[in-house]
Amino acid sequence: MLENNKPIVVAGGGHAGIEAALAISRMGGSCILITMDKKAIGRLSCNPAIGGLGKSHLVKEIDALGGTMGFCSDFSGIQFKTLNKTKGRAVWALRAQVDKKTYPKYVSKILKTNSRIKIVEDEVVAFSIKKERIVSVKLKKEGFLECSAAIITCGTFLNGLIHIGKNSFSAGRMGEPPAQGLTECLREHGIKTGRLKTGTPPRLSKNSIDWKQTEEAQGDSTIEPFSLFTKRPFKKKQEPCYTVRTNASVHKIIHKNIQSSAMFSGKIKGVGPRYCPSIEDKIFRFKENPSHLLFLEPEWSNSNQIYLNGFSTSLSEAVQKQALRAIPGLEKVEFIRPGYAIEYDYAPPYQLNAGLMSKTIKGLFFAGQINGTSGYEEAAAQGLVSGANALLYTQKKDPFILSRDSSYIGVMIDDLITTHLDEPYRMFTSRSEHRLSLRPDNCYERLADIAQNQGLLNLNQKKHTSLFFKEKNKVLNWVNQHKITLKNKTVLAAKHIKRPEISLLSIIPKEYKKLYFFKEAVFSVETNIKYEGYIVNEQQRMASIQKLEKARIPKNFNYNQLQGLSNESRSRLNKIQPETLGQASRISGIRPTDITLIGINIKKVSRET
Amino acid sequence: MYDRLDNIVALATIPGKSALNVIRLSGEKSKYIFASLTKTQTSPQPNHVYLKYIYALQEKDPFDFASLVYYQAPKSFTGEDSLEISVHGGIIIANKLIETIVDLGARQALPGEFSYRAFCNNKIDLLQAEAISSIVEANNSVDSYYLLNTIKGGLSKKLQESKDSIENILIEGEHEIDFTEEEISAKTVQKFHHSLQKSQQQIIDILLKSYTVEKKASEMRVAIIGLPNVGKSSLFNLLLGKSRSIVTSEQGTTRDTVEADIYIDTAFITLIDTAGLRKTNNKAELLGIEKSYQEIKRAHILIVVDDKNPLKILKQLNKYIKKKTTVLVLNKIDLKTTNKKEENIFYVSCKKNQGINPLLTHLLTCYKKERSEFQSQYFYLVNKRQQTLLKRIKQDLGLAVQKYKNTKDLSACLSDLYLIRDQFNSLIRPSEKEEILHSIFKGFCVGK
Repeated sequence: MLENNKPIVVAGGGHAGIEAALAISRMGGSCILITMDKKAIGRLSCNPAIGGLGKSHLVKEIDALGGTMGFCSDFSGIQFKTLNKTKGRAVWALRAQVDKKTYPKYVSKILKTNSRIKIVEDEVVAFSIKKERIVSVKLKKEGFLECSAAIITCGTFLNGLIHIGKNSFSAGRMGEPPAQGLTECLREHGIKTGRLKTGTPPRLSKNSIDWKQTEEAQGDSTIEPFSLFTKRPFKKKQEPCYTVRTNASVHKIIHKNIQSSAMFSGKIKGVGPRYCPSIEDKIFRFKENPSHLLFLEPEWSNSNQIYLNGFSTSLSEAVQKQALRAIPGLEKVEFIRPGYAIEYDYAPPYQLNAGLMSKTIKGLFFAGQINGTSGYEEAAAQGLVSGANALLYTQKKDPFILSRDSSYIGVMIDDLITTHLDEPYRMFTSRSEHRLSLRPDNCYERLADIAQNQGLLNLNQKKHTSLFFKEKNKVLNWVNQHKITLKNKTVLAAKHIKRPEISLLSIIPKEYKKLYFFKEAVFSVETNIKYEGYIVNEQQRMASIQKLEKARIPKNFNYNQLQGLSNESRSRLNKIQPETLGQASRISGIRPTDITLIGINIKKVSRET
Repeated sequence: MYDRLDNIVALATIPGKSALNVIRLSGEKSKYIFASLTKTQTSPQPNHVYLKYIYALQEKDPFDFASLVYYQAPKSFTGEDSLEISVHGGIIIANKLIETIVDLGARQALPGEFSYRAFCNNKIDLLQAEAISSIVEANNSVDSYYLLNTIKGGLSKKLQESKDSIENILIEGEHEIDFTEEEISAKTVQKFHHSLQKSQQQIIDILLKSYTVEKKASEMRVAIIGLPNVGKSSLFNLLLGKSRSIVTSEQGTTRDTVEADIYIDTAFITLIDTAGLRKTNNKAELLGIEKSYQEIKRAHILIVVDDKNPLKILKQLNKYIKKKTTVLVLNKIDLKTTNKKEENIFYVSCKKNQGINPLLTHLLTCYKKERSEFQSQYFYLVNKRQQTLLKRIKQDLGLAVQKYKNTKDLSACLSDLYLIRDQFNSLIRPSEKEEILHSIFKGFCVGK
């Protein structure tokens, strides 16, 4: 299959690396996955949950593209909850609390039993290039390893620096060493790097909590899996989470000791995510809020280790403890590990093309936190795309590119490569212009074709996807062909469903309940009908911007020669080097008149050549 | 499409004979052109008036003595460095100056180009630009008063308030969807409904208080009515003679209505002479009488003329006149002397030109009263484009409110609101992308 026998190297065994390696193998390629610690593959460094607001849309799309994250979450989930139920179907978000021990174990098993993936315990510290192409990576132990392509997915490990109060020390994650050397190599090859930070809350000892004073938070009574490939009916034994609230005395303690926070004392140079703020951030920024909700989440089944969701912090350990002990129920709380902030290197992703390959070094791909994103799901999605593209690159085939109007993954990658990041990037549904078209329930319709064409689905996945479509069509045919009488009106079922108060479930004949994907099919058909007007509108808008997306700007297009371009626009365009007019139009500060100007000139160039 | 980076020059006054002409220049070269024209080395102070001789390129003798004002960016109409030069009237000097400025590196501006630059540099929004264009055409103080209000940003501010309500829902709604893991509270839903209704009400209010030029705030129709041969036409001609200026006047028989646009003081009035009302079988006359009745309906103020008892005529016509403002005139006081004088009747002799001035004063008072009633009802003069968009926003907002009530789907509601916000933007400040923008500015006159 490969043009040459040199392998593709995946550097990192986190969520990005996993999906990258698996995508390569599904498409018929093979790769070597380099990890510093085989036991750490698929580890959940932060919260014990997959999905949630915005992110569950990504998990569903990863599933539609044959990825493994949703499937593994279903397997290792201990609580399932659909969020945003009162805010419209397009934004429903499934969140699974997962068992932090089961998840990585299960993922590792999938990787280890895959004959196309070779796992090597080592560390990529450098790489070398020839004629603007990557030709080898340097391993810390084994030395140079020739490769046809490499995917860098090193998470928070690049020059990772942990801060707890005034203390700081080098680490990739608590208890694990950082990766060093690669940043310097990237810089030597002209790739720009920056610094970001993220944080994680303390882990509490279960026995030190007075559970009677906490409030129980159960999962949903009927639950749905993430994955289309998880066996139906989906049943799980669920475990509850618990909540407590901060109060005035907690806030006072943090206020008084704010100088102990690494972030507030100015010790951390990296910028943290605004949307996943630390507790000190929350208290300072949302002063009017007298109390913040905290979740006590078991890290695994019957775990003695409790994740305190909502209390990410870089305060000193003593202050963390003192503040928490002011909360009823946590008066005697003990830490297994304090909360901490971690600073790490990232490479601003405007240096990548839409296939996540470096614009200057061919065959070098980047995915996950090194691209400035935050979250397992964002990393996994990029991993999948970069893996597919690394293989396509070695096969000299056209890249695999997801457009903004096809998926949230497409939105994310486009955002990453066209906008200036000033904080870690997290997925939000509001980042899409077409939110009512990009729904979790229609992710298979949106992505099945492209997944099939790229060979991203294995046999079992293909089988299930087509069964789902078959059953969905059965339901669709029924609503479009059968008239029924409701409230003295006899019209097509589809017409009835348009009314907000009528559900398809309540009118569909019983025999359909035997369908394997009954729930999914009914839900999807019904949602499509209810949103029809909106979808038509969004499609019209999509069509109108298609032109710009298709207009490619030649490589090394000379912006300096364009008369009428402002200096500011010129320098931004030179820096980002957009691949299409569409991308150019989304660079901040670029005016519509600039786009027209470039458009006229690329036509001229293509006529001349 | 306009180029935005060069220097533009245009005559801002109407070409032809006048005491002065004003030439306008906008662009980076303003200072340089000031120096070259005046042959001075020191650069001009912004907002100072300079009286200087001005010279053409390579000529020793000045071609005019002009007053020049330099405006420094961004404190100018266009937001760029600008010059305004007043020269002596006549087209020769103006043309020579423009040619000289073109020689110095500027080009002739296209219609609307100054306003377009002001718009692009965020000095004005589209509503203001359109009002600037319209105020030139305004023919009455009411229209121009309201247009000036729009130029000052009055309409923009009102619309912005309504748009802000929408944007607040968008911000809070997105926060609900993307950040709040808990379900939406009844209180928040209620708040959204409240803001939506508020925004809708604001638009309805603006629409109720808006009129278009078709409504003619400019129009103040004053009809002279009465029986035949009581002196209506004489009064008509007399009032015409007393007016400050006659705008138009058509000749006709009194079997038809005759109208003339005149100014009494600053009041712009359409004065109408109507056919005398009486029973007749003459077809042509019947037609004229029919028109008189139509005019009674249409006019704002009615002058009821009679040579015996105008009050009686008024009573006879009451069912047509309804609650309109009426002025009673007893004509031909030269023929008989009456001792009894009623307060609300104007005693006039058209033949001897007596009693006309009090009548005129009273007409002015009536005009002002009518105006103030109009003004209490209307507040914005909008054009067709603005009115159409306003109506669409009102309609779409109504639909969005209804849909959210029925479906409770916040994500769908926000989708509606994004489109409505876009419509607000099209109304106030369209993106440069919108071709409509160019067609709007092209309709402006040169120098604007």
